[in-house]
Amino acid sequence: MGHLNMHTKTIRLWSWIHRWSSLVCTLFMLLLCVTGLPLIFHHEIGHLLEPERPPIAAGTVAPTLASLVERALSARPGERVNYLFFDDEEPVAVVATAQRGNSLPQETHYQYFDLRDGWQLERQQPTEGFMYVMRRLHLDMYADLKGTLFLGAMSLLLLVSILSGVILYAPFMRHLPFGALRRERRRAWWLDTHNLLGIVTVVWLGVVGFTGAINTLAQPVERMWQGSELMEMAASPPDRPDAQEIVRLDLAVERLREAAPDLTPRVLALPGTPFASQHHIGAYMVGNTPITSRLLTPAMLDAGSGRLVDMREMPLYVKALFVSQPLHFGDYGGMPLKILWAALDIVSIVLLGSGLYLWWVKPGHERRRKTPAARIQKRETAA
Amino acid sequence: MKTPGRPTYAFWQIFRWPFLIGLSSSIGLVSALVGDGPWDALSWATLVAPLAVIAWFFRAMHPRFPAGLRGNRGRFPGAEGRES
Repeated sequence: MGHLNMHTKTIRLWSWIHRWSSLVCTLFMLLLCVTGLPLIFHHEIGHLLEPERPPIAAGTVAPTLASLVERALSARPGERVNYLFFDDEEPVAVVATAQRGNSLPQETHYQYFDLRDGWQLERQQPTEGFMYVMRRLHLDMYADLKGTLFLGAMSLLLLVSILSGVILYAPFMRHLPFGALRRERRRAWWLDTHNLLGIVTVVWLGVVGFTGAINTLAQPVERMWQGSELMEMAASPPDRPDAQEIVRLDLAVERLREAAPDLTPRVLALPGTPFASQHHIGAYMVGNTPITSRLLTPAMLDAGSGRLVDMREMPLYVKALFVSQPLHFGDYGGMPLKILWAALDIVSIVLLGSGLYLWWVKPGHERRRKTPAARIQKRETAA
Repeated sequence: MKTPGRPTYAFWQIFRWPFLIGLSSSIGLVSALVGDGPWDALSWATLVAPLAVIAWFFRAMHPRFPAGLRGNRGRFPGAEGRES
């Protein structure tokens, strides 16, 4: 490599950085790319598995939330309702019930109701099946927060490897036109392929990697916010300390609509859950533009009277987290964007695979027959 | 190790296309966040660019592709038998 503007020592250093940052994270990145592929389409895959529902009769009256809560509870004796989730794409409410207010997601049962007529949809629990395995492998490799933070660190290494790859692109392409794929030798062809795939997807992969790293901080960020601002918001004493039951959720939603007509609730957290307080209902609302539909506006309502106690915007650090989510998931531009996301994901798999090949096969070795002796020699030179 | 007949590309020549593709990807990643409809369409059009470029160079390798258009219009600087 004597044909370089860059100092040879500098190139060696960047090659070393590129090799090792990539090698350490490649297997995990392959795992993330492979498990991420079905996750891009999790909504659609969920629908495929779902049985058809009968058409809605004309003149059907929409059910009250209170009636959905009642039905969910009667199907799960001994449990309590912790959350109501409202889907962003379809008129569906998810009623989450569990033994305790702070039960873990995997101890929670989810029931799906059509908000137009109250029809209960037969859906798989989000905590079981193929997609759950994919999600856990992608999110934390079944190692909870430790696994998530580890994958975040691996994403940072990916960013280092992307940066060093871009720097190395220049000396490698000094005598080659853009997109050249030399066919004379297998390794040269793979090197050119690696360079081409890497340089044209660099922005996309960089953004998905970076926002993925930010997303790994979701849990700590939420906890930080919960411990500070949410506590503040729920500081008011109960309006009716002797109240035995909480207000009808329909009334709470009505209060929210009066206070913020542009926002729609995405989550209602019932009293006694981590996202509410002992005597408050936590409401998390979203707007109706592509960006505001990602930003939650939290509100606290007194559970005994339904009075809106506090409503405020999320602090900037939580907003950054929420805006980074669509940029990682690719779910913000319809089906064509999801397909592009999947295609770019597959390109990344080839990129990672070709990188491994280029590390494994040293220049000039690719034409040799794979005799056992050659293999051992190759391994020794690689080590 | 300068080989006669091998062109040397300047920094801006090397990064011209990557820069434009990167810029277009950036526009696409942001535009779908900004709005729906035409903004989404802009993001599809710009994010398809990296894939189209890859497809173009791999298509050029296909044996049935017109020989005159194959492989960078016949320019293969590595074809002289040197490789980096």
